Amino acid sequence: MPASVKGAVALRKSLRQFSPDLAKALPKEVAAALKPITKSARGYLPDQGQVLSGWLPRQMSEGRFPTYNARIVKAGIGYKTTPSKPNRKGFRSLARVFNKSAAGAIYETMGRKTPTSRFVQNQQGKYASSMKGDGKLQGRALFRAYDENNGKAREAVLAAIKGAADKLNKRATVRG
Amino acid sequence: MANVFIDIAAEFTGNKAFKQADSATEKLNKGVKQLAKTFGLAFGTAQVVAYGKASIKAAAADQKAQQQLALALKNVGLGRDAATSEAYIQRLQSEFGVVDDLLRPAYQTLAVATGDTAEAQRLLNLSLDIAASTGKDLGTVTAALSRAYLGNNTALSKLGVGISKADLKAKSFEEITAQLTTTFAGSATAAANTFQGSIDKLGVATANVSEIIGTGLIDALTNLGKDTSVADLAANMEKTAQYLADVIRGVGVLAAKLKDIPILGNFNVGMIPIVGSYLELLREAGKQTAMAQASDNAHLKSLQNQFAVTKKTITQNKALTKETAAQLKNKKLQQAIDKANLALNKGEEVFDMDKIQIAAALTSQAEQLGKATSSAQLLQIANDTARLNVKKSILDLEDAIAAKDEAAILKATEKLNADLKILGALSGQNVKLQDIKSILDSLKPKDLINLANLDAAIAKMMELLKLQGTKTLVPTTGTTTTQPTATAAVQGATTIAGTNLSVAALGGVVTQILPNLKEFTPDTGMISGISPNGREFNFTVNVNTGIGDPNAIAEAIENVLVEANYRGTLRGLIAV
Repeated sequence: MPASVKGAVALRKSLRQFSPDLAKALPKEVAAALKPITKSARGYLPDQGQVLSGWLPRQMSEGRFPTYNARIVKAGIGYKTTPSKPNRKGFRSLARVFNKSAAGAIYETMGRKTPTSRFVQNQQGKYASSMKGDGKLQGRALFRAYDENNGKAREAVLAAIKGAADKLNKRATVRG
Repeated sequence: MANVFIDIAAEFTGNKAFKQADSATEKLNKGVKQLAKTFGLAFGTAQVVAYGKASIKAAAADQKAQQQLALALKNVGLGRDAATSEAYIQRLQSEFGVVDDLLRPAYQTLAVATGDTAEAQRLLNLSLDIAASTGKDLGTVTAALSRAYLGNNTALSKLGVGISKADLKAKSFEEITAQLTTTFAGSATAAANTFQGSIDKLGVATANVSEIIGTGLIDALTNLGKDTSVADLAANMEKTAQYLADVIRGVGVLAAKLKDIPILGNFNVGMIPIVGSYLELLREAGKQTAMAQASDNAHLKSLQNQFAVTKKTITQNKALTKETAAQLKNKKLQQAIDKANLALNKGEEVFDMDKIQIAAALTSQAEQLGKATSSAQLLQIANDTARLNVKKSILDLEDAIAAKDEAAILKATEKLNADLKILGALSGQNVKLQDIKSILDSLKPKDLINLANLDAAIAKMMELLKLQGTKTLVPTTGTTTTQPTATAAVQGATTIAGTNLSVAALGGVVTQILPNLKEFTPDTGMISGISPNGREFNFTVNVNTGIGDPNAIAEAIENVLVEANYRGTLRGLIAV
């Protein structure tokens, strides 16, 4: 579960308006906190040679099932430090790591619900990575990296937001 | 679709549906609060005073809005519809629960845009439907419709009323409004029938109550503070409110006490002994005063309005008449100037024509002179000619004056005086025929060559010959006869050169005279003589050239001789 913060969006607006240097520094601090997760997540992804040949891109492979391209999958792992649009429940994410490629998502979550499927069975034991995490946060690459991060990134993000808010308040109360 | 992500931190901001619900709740809450406020549930002094003030303010604002609407309608030529428009607005606010403070500006906008009461009312109905359906405020919708009526559909497209840009461009305003009427039919009525609509209607009713009470308070307080200042009026208002509040409290206490008496069930103030009758009298008096004041005020206001309108109309008419008169005067002046310019142009033409006619008349008189058979005719011609000369002299003098040429002026003046003298002599009828003749002779064109000037020329030649040592002209051949003076001079020449010189003096007709020349008659151009073989010959030379141009004459003769030579008909020794 993400940490719920109040007033972070308003804080960003205020920073942009009254303290542009802090507005630029905050995303950098957040990014620095998120980068280790994405870096280790990319490391958990298999290389092109490790993947079974049936899942690799091939000629006449215009089927609907996504093929695994290591370059695309690794590029699909990243982070985002700008507030998103509200979801159905009205929450806006302030910092996010994602694994957006289709093949990457398959590698991430395969076997969560159907651990005995033929595809999963074929893939099992071929890769060094194993699933980590709980529930919806269980996975082989991104979720594993997040789990192994032990909340350090979350703490750093929250500390960055709080630090920016404190600095802004401090500047606002200073009278020359 | 891949949806693998982890939100590290998030903020709850609420989504659109939450906001809409929140907004709707706030509106409802606000409406209920407004209703509660306007009901005036508390009867404390401060509340009564505040309510009184608010009522007065509302009444004044309402009065002002009414006047503004009436003025706006009058300015667009719909002054006669002011009363019906006000009634229409009152009906709308009670029917749809929209306060007149919103309806009046909207109606005013549409009336000014359309200039037609019926069209404005139709569009206001449509605006109410659109506003109720889309949630836009009435002012925005009416502004968009009025702009669309004037041809600007941009605002209408922004309303989001389900009309495409292509339709907005292609369809006329009538077609668009017909489509909108179909789309939003009954929206305002449906909205008015909801709970919110009912609350709005109550709000409108209480606002009207407030305005009515405010009007009464204004009248009453004006009566109280009629002969004093505004400060007194304010003080009176406070005192009255205080008094009323106390009275209301007292009535409440009294009613509570009376309730304890078992005989009296329903309480009526009028039933209170003595006090009740006084209160009833007071109420009646107040009611009558209000009615009288209302009618007086209405009548007086109507008269004042009529007077003001009449006065303004008269002033405008006067200004218009003055402006029209000034324009007419300017127009007349311009016409006069144009006419003068035309006359001047014509005058110039006439002036030129005068000159032409004078010249023609003088020519004609000269021709007539040759045909005159009696002295009377001669006299008439002389008179006419003299007049023409005078006129000509006048014109010449005018030209000279215009040219500012002093010498020409003096000369023209002199000529005019001479002509006038002649004319005066003719007009005096003391004229002798000889004088007339002399006048007419002066008009005749002078001959370039005649007998007299030929004689004079020959005489001159003789003198020249004498000076050169030649005594007489000796004929070279044959017998001589008595010749006219000119030929005698030619014949008197001793050499061919001398003869030729003499002939040249006669007009340069022949460049060389042969020795056998017998006779030459300059007047006729005939030459006679004896040929080398002893035969007499006569020939006449006619030269068709200009007079007095020796080169032209010589060239013409040369041409004739050359042509004759070519033809082979020329014999002799004439050198060409």
